[in-house]
Amino acid sequence: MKYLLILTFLISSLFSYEQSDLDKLLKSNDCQECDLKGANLSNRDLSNANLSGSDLSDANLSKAILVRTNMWGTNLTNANFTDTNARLSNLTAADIINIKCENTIFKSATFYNTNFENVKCKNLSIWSAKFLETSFENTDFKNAGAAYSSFTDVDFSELNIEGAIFWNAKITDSIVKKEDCIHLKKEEAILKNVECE
Amino acid sequence: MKLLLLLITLSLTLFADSINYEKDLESAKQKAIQLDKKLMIMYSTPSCPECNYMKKKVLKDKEIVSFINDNFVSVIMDIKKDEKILPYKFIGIPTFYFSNASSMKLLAKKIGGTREKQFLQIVKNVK
Repeated sequence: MKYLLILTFLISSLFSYEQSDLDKLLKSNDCQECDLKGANLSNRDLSNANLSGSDLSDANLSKAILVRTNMWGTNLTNANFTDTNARLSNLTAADIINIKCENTIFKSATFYNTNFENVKCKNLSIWSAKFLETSFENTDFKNAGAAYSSFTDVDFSELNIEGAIFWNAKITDSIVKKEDCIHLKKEEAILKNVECE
Repeated sequence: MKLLLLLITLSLTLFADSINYEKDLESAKQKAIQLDKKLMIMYSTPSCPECNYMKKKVLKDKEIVSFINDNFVSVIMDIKKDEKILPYKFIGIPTFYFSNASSMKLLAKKIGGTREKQFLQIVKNVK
C-alpha cells in the first residue's frame, strides 16, 4: 500500500508543475527555465512575462494574455492556446507540438527556428508574424489570417495553407507545393527565390 | 441646398473608387443624419497589419466601395489618438461598428479582418 502511494506520487509529480516556479511567475512575471508542466494559467495576464526555456507542456493557456511574452525555447507540447492572445510574443526555438489553437492570436509573433508538429489551428491569426527556418510537420493553418507575414527558409511541404489570407506576405528562399504557389500568387504574396514543386 | 448636397453625394458615390471617409465622428454623424444613412465606424491604428489589409485590399473592392458609399457614412477612428472619444468599447482591432447615426444604437459589429465576400455579406446584413 505504501509503495503504491509512493508510486502514485512519483508518477503524478512527473506530470505536474513546481509550485515554487508557478508562485515565482505570478509574483515576478519572470520565470526562466521553470517547470510549469500542466499549470493552469487560463485567463491570466502574462503580458511581457519572461518564460524562456520553461516547460509549459500540458499547460492551460486558454484565454491567457501573452502579449509581448518571451517564450523562447519553451516546451509547449499539448498546451491549450484556445482564445489566447499571444500578439508580439517571441516563440523562437519553441516546441509547438500538438497544441490546441482555436481563435489563437499570434499577430506579429516571432517563430524563428520554431518547431511545429501535429498542430491543427482553427481561425488562426498570424498577421505580420515572422517565420525563419521554422519547421512544420503535419501542421494545418487552413483559412488563417496571414497577410503581411514573412516566411524565410521554410519548407511548406507539410503545412496546409488552404484558404489562408496571404496578401502582401513575403515568402523567401522556401520550398512550396505547386498548388500553394498558385494560391500564394493569387493572394498577391511576394515570392522570392521560391521553389514551386 | 439639400438638393445640391444630394447631387454632390450622388456624383461622389457614382465615381468613387474608394470609400469616402469623413474626417471625424461628429461630421460623420451629422452627414449620416442629413442623408438618412447608417454609420460605419472602423477602429484601427496605422501600424495594425490586419487593419491595413482591410483598408488597402478589402475596402478597395469595387462592389464593397459602392455598397458602403451608397448605404453608410464612414469614419476611421484611431484607438490611440481618439481614445477619449471612442463611442464603443473594444477588445481588438480592426473592429467595424455599424450604427444608427442619431441614436448611436449599435446595429452590427465585426471584429477582425476578413475576405471581401464575407465582409460584403456582413454589410449587406446590417439592418
